[in-house]
This record gives sequence, structure tokens and C-alpha cells, in this order.
Amino acid sequence: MQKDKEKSMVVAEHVSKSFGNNLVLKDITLSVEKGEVVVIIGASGSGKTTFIRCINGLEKVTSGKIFVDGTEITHSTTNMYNMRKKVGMVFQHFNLFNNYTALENVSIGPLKVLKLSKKESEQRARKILKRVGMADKTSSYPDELSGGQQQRVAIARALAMEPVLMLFDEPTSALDPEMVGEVLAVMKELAQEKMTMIVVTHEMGFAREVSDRVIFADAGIVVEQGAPKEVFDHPKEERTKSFLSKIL
Amino acid sequence: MDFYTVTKDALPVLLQGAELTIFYSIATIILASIVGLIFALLKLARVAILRRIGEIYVHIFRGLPLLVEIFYIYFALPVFLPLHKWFDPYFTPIAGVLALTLNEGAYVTEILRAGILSINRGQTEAALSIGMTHWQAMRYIVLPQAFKRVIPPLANQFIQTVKDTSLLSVISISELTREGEIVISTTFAALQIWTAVAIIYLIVIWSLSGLSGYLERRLQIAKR
Repeated sequence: MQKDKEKSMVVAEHVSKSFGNNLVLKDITLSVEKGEVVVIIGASGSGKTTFIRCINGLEKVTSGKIFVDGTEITHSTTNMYNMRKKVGMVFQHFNLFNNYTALENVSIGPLKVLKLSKKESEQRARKILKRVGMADKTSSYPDELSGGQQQRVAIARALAMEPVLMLFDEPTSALDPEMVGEVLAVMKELAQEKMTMIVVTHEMGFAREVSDRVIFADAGIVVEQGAPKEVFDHPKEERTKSFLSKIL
Repeated sequence: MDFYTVTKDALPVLLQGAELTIFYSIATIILASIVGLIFALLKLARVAILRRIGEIYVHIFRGLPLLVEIFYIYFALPVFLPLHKWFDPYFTPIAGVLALTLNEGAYVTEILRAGILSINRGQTEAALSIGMTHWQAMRYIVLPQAFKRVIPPLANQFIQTVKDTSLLSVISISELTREGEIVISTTFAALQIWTAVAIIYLIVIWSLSGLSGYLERRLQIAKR
């Protein structure tokens, strides 16, 4: 078991989380391997978002353990600030820093957290912005960008820290339909580069095409998981069938 | 004595008073901003005891009339703490600035706290997600955005501060109001002198409003 924890990117053991009396995660045990792309689907309120927020410590688990890249992040002595440097997160509402330009949004992490020089940070930021197709918008402020553009900058901001794991919390849910494609394209490229990714999404096309594994969560438990083909085409559980019939 | 002569003769004295008014205003604005920022951060701290300290400070210094605070620091405190001896001969100005700072600082605390709370939590979460500490998130992400939002209420408070310096006349600090009183006590020209005093106050305060408007526009153009 100890060996698995060191080999796997994320291991969750009996993780429970409650907000007051509301039990959101119920004894979740699962692991994500290095280089794996895992998509979590499920109705709202199923605990998907809470689960990935626990992985980078934005939420504290009520009980259980989570290991990221071999380190137990739920241990009281673990420095969460250091852990978060290697775990990127992309939010539903982008959360770009409103007081900074696109370039500054991406370079501030390397500059202030990794303590690179201003020149190095900006070079790195420009390179990554180019990679997500935002090279011509480096001096724009977030409110001058479309939703899709903001989300691509947000992905660049996370990538600038050179993370070993990327978490996506419904990255396309707040976007106009015509902008979903550009964000998914960036994510697809990341997956092809063997980035370890955990993606909470309602984009079934992306899940089917890009992911290695689909996890269906409902009411705080993992109901079913497997290769996308299995889960989508031959769901075993009643709850999975009923959910899929509603959204497909 | 005619209207103009009496005003003209009094003007140098009044302007001296205005200088002190401006001096006390600027000193208080700077110090109250620092005090306000410290206590706003304390009130938002994750450690309960720090929050409590911030709350107690605001409760006391916002809860009392400024005049009582001035009297307390100037007359009551020296009874058990010989401040007037330690700081002689500067005790009077120090007591004046201290009373003003503690009082205005309590209001600035609440203005800054409201500004900080008005910034979406997602901004802090995003900052934490790239590995920033809570303090870095506050310093680089939240405070710059909050500061821009609180310029109008802060300007309001600092205008109040300028007017509040007139209360320092009660501990014989010769600021504008006190100088006006002194001139009137010898010339009896109440109408002329109070009119002149009022106009000087308005000029100072309108300059401050103008500065605030300028800052607001500047930050608007420069975006966030």
C-alpha cells in the first residue's frame, strides 16, 4: 500500500467531508495514477467539486487521508502552501486577478511564489500564454477578455507553476457555448502531453474522447468508475443509467 | 473697523492656524491609515484572539465622543501615567495626534474591513491555488483591489478628520478654529472672522475632495 501511495499521483483513503450536519463526501477511497486523465461526472451536489477542492487543501477533510505525489496533505504538519505550488487549479468562474493584466496574472506565481526574477517570470508567462493561444492579449485586463480567453489565461496561470497535477472544477460551465471548444482544446493538448488531470465537468464529449477513466459520483459516493466506453455505453448501476439518460 | 481691514489683519494669524490644521490632518490621516489597516487585518485574522483585539479597539474608540477621548488622553491619562513629563514639551501635540488617530483609525478599520470583505473569495482561492500564502494573497491580490473600492468612503472619513481637528482647540492647540477664537476675543468681529475661518476650511476640504476624485479617476483609467 505504501508503495502505491508513492507511485500514484493522488490517493484518497476513506475521505469524508461534512459542512455542519451535511455530509458531502462519504468515505471516498480512490487513486489517480501519474499521467492519467480522470473525469468526474455527476449531478450537482454530488460532492465532485468538494472532492477536488480537498485535494489542494482549499477544503479540509473531516476524516480520512489524502496523498498527493507521495505526501500526505491531510497531515497537520504538511506545508499546504508548498503542496499547492505543484497542484494547479482551474476554477469554474476563472478567478483571474482583476488588478493584473493577463501577463501579470501568469507571471505573478513564478515571481512571488517561486521567486524567479522578473525577467524569467515574464519570459515563462509569455511562453505559456502563447501555448494557450493568448500571445496577443498579454496586456489585457481580465474584464477586457471573453470568458473563453479568461479561462485560457487561468489555465496558463496554473501551468506557469509547472504543476505535476492539474485540477479542473467545471472549467467550461460558465462559458457561452461557442467558447467551450477553445478551452477544451487547450485541455486536450495538456492531456496529450501526459499531464495528470482530474476534471469535474459536464462535457461528456470531452470525457469520452480524452479521459482514461470516468468516475460517476452521486450523493457523496463513487457509484461507478471505469473506462469511458464502459461507463457511457454499458453502465452497470441504476443510478448511472438514470443520470446518463437525463444528460445524453 | 471695517469688514475688510479686520479680516486682512487677521489673515496671517488664521493662515498660521490653517497650517497647523493641515499638519494635524495629514499626520492623523497617515497614522490612522496605518492603524486602520493593522486593526482591519486583525479583525479578519483566523486566530480568534486577534479578532477579539480588533473588535475591542473599534468598540472603545468608535464608541466614545472624540471630545471625551481628547480630554481623557490629555487630562485623565497623565494622572496615572506621567506622559506629560516623558514627552515634555511635546505632550500637547502628541496627545492631540494620538486622540485623533485612535478615533479616526477605528472608522478606517471598518472601512478597510468592508473593502476587503467585498472582494470575491475566488480571488483569494486562486491566489492560494498557485501557492501564495494568505499574507501574499492579501498583499498582492486583495488589498490593491480593496483599496480602490474604499477611496470614496475613505475620502469621506478624511474630510471628517480635517473638521475633527477643530476639537483640538480645547487643549489649546492653535489650529484654525482656536486662532479664530483668539482673534475674535480681541476684535469682537465674529461675523468677519468666522466667515474667513469657514472659507479656509472649505478650501482645505475641497482640495481633499478634488484629490480623492483625481485618484478615483486615475485608478479607473489605469484599470483596477
